Amino acid sequence: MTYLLEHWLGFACLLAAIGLTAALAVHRYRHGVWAWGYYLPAAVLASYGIGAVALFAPWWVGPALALAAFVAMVVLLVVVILSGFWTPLLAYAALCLLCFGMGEFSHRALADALSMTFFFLVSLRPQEPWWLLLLIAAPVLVWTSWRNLVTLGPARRWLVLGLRVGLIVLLALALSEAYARKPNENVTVIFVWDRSLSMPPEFERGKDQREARIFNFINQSVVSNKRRDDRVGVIVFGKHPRLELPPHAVKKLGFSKILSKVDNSYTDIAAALKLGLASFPEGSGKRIVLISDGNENMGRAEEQARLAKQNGVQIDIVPIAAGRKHQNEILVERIEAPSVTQKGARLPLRVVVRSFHPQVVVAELNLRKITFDAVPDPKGADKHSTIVKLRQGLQVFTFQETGARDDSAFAYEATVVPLHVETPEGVVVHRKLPGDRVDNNEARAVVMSRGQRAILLIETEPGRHQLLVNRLQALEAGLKVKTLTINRESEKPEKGVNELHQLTRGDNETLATYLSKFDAVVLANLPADCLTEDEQKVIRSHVHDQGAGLIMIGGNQSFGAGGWQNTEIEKALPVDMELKSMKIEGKSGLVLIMHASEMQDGNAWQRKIAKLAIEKLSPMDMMGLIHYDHGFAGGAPGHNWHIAFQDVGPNRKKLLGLVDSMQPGDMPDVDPAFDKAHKKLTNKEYGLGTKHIIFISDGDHWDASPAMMNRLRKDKISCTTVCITSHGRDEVKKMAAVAAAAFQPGGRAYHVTDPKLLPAIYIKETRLVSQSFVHEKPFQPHLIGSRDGPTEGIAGPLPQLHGFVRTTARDSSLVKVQIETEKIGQYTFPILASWQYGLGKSVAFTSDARTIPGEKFWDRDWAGDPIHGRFWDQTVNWALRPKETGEHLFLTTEQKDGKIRIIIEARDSDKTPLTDLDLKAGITSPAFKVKDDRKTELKFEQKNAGVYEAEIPADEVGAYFINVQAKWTKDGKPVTDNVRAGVSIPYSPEFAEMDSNPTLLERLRELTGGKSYRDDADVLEQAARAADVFRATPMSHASLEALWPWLVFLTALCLLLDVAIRRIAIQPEAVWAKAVAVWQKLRGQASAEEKLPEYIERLKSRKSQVGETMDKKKAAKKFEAAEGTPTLEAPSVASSAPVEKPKKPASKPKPTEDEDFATRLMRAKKKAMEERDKDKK
Amino acid sequence: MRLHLIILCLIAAGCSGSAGAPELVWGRRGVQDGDLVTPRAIAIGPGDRIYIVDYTARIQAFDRDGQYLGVTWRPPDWRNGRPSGLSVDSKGNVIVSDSHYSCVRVYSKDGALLRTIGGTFGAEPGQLGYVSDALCDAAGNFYVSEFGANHRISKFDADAKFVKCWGAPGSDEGQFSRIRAMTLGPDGNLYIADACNHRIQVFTTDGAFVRTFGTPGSGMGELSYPYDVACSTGSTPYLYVVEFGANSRVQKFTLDGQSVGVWGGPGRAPGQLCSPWALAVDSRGRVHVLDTWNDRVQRINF
Repeated sequence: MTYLLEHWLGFACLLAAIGLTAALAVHRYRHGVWAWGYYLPAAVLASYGIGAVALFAPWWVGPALALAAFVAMVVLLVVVILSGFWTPLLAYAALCLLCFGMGEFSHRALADALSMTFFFLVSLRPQEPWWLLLLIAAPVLVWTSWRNLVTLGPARRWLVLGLRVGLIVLLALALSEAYARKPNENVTVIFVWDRSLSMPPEFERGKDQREARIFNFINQSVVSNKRRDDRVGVIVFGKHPRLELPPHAVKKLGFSKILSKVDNSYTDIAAALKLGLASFPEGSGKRIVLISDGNENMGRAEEQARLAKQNGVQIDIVPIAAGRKHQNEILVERIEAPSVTQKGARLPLRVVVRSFHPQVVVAELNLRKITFDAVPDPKGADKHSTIVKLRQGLQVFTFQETGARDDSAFAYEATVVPLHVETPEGVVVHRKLPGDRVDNNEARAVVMSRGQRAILLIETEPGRHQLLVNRLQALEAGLKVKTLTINRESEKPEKGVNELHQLTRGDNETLATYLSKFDAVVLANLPADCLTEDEQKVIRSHVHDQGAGLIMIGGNQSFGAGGWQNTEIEKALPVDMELKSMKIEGKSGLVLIMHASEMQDGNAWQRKIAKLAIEKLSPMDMMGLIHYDHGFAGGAPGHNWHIAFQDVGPNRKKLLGLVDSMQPGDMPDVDPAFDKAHKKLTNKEYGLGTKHIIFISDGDHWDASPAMMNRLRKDKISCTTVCITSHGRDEVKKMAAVAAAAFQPGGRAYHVTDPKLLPAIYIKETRLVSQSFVHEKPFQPHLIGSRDGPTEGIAGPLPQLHGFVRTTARDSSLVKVQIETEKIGQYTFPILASWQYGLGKSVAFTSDARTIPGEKFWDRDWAGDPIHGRFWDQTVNWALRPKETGEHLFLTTEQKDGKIRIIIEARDSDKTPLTDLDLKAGITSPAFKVKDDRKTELKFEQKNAGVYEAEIPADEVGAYFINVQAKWTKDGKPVTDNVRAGVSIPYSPEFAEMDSNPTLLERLRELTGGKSYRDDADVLEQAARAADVFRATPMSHASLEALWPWLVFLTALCLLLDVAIRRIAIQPEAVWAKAVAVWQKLRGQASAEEKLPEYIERLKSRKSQVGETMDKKKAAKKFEAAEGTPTLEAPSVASSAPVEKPKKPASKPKPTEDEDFATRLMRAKKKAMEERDKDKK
Repeated sequence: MRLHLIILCLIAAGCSGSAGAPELVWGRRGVQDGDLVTPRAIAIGPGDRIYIVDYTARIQAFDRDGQYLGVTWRPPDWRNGRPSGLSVDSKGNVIVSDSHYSCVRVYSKDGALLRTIGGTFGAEPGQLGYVSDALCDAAGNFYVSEFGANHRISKFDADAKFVKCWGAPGSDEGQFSRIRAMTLGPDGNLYIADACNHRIQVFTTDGAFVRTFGTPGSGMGELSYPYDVACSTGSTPYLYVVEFGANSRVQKFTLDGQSVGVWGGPGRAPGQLCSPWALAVDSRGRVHVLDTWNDRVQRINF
């Protein structure tokens, strides 16, 4: 059977030969002659078939026979030419031999080609099958064309008909968007590489040998692979997968460094496999090579492996450090401490430590209390150090702590340091604990303190709001006001004052712990650049999630004038900095000049800071941006305005969009840019007050001419230069000189090596430029709306204020504007606005509170009025976080599987369970992301009477601050209480993994039928050299290939050929006759010319017979009914058109020997017509 | 259907041609060998071996048709900045102006470092600032141009001993504002591209001022930031100047400063240039223009 299938073409040829032989016999029987049209093809097919199925022929027999036969035929031809001698029998024998030989060696290729053509045609898939209805037109076309094409003769007529049918078929297929399935043997391999912390490095000679091995494995596999269309991609993953290299066909990879940033604190193999499956291109074999230790702590990889199997994707594995037993490990599992305490209470602390070592590990256990006291405990009670002996398993160490000395929140940090390992008998085995990971040797617990209520006031100048502080403390006996100063006005931030940073050291978790004791935060005339974006996030979360209050008090550096637009703090405020008034007051002009930056991602940073500048300017201000334009957009290159100098107001969005297309080039010189900026800033039509240029450059290598500097100085245009990663040496000095010496005193010079500092510089610079936010004139404030909260019981008229910062009340039903200005121009502006923000409250007071004895500011009239104390007392009290009684709510937490379970036990004063609580929770996560979305609100479920539970994901390392607010009614009156706790996830679960998990990887491999490669240099090298990962996949793949361009091309070709065949009259019969004549001439027989007329005559006679028959039929159809119609002579050519009376030729042309057959035929036709006309007459 | 139409349009567009079409356009943006990233200087050595330095600090060798010859090297360090000048001496060695390292490095044609001249930053005679270009005459003397800290040309003898320097910042005769490049003319004079003064200055090799030509503008004979100069040889030598600025073109001058013609203009199509930095003339008198921001080279018979 196999033989039959392999040689099907040979058998098919033999069958065809038998059929033809039968037909030959029938023909012989009917006509009495052996027709060569039968026996010659039969002989050819039979020879080819026998050659194809020949059983014993070695490979060279076929070609040799074919060659011999070919030579014989050439010899015969030469003999014919030279001597005219010809032996048909010999020629037939040579032909048969040739076919036999060719059949022997070519049948496989021919059979494959025919099979492929068949399968190709079968695989055609139309996308729009309705277009195939066009095929109906094919028979119609054949029907109509058959009659019209009769003049072409039978051969040409069939050809044209075939072409027309082909044209219709091809056109229908093209319109139906036919695709062919193309078998694809190529393989796409995606390496999925685990980069989590649990992947153990293998350091040797200062290099991670394991990492190097894997790089080599990937690179070598690609180089060794010979199939150039195979594709390779790389995904790296930890908590989230990243597509490091998209699948691509490459000859070599040169992969030596991972550029994607991976969060390595977790391992999510499932997500990585999912991305891998989604990244495969269609139409090729698919394989994932998973390089991991198998320690997944997020997701379920097996589910993805099943999906992979369904999609025909194999997963090969490289189990990393399989069989590793990490015994040399001790870790602090947790610190157990009460989450809330009170001043002076003693705290029981339990430090839980686990050892994996089979012997005794002697270690030093340190317990440190992290407080925010300015002076450390003189008795040293903040630190404990104990020598402990750790046996295999869990051990608990208990401490009794003194607790809080004041109302401060604090944290405990436990650290265990291995000293040596000893036997149970006390014999030291070795010093230290080699291989122990320090990352899991410490843990933290946050303890919050309940006590006196407190607010934190941050200002830029110590004592600037002292009058306000004094009055608050005097009026509210239980309120403590802590003031901090942050001042970054100095040119060098490190020389400024930042008391907040001194306390927190820039650590967000420490800041959150510090803030937890404050029930409200007051930002008093503080500009935005005093707080980092992270610090703002912590404060925002402190309000939204921890229920604290936020009060922003105005001044010339606050709100819009302080650059708070589009900041985290602005989101928490009841007002935003967008101004509705376009009335110009103190209009400023700013020109940004951008020079090419060679800093990494320099262009991206330049775009970012340009956007910040545009966002921070007020709508009344004007701005423009100049850069060196290489003319990419089509204009002339040069120092061009990328953003034309214009009002910011209505165009802000458009301007921001324009920034994205900025591509600053290297300026050959800077004078033309300064000149353009100067012309705009000094244009009197604009009436600009403040005129400023910010010039960002690497100082390479322009020179500002003294004349230009003088012009700027003369017209009071200040300039700030920002020198970024200069080429060194004199560029920094040059930039500084330009800003400080040549220009106005307002100019500053910055030298930036860290791009992260750029935005702060720009915010500050832009803030200084834009003065249009500030209204500094006396005005009458008015109370509006209901008198509650901050304005409860306050009656008008209010004393005058002498200034405020323009803002716009947020468009929200929660926002209450309780004091506003009189009409300034066409508009009024909010002075006092408040709203509930998450669990906390937020207040904006846009005038100031800076007046102190001897110094008068905007609130000078309020400061001397009794309303001052009462107003601020009520405002602060309204914003404060609800008091935490500690009597009704008891919060406990549990950590498990990357989640924190929150359990609230609610009891009334009489210990009865509270079963109708309205609970709201706020969670401050280590990332300090505030979720404003209501859908993300935590839902509590009452599991038992008065016991409520909820669960939150906790997949980030760090402290989680949980705040739960409860509302219920008692005796018809609403009651509110809240409870807080801190939960700390000390280290990534990756550090809790002691062993690899090859079992999981093996399971994934088994599911998908992949291979396993041991993590060994030789094994990986061998596999890479064999390009084993690129081996063929078990499932065949096919890609879809669009055919319409080819179909359209072939359609056009058919059309062309159709026209050509109809217009170019080559008669096959004439060609044949000519060939016969030539052959006979070669053989020295009678000349073709002599015999041709006879043949022509026979042909003409036959043609006339056909024409006569057809005309008779037509005449019978058309004129049968009419009597007396004369019988016509049959014309030589049938025609359905009425026959016109031909004109008599002037003279009868004499036939010549050169006349061709067609001419003579035409003449015969004319003659017949003339004779018919005569008969008519 | 649309594809066919597009192809037809392209063919039609391609057939239209223009008088300014370059003879050859080559180069592809990339970091693989033979690719270019904003190429900034070009020089042609014996056998029309072309050297190009680009923004990645790679110096690569090509033949006159742009075929990569398999030679690539970099200066010892380029973190502070990349070389911005190239020339070839009479022995076929490559002279690299290591601009940000205040020195000139001489390499063999295969990239072996042969010697370093300068390296001491400063404004004193013999010290160098930002080195924009350097070349070597038949006698082995080196001429080094600078801008930034110093705007001058320094001459060193074959042993790299300081001989003299001339030039100062400014716009008068003999003063400079950003010397971007220079070349030795067949008449033995130095032709200096005084970029920000938009002119060419001519000096003898001893620093004597000979003449100046060019004024800012876009007309014939006017210049906009001339960034490189090169001379052709033959019976009637010409000076070719490439203009970086708004003109983005090549202008052909007689040695006495008469403009003969211009080629190019700003744009991205073949025959157009995007902020070109440099050019060189080969042994057959064809001009190879470094179309910097199009990451390619255009060869013209001009």
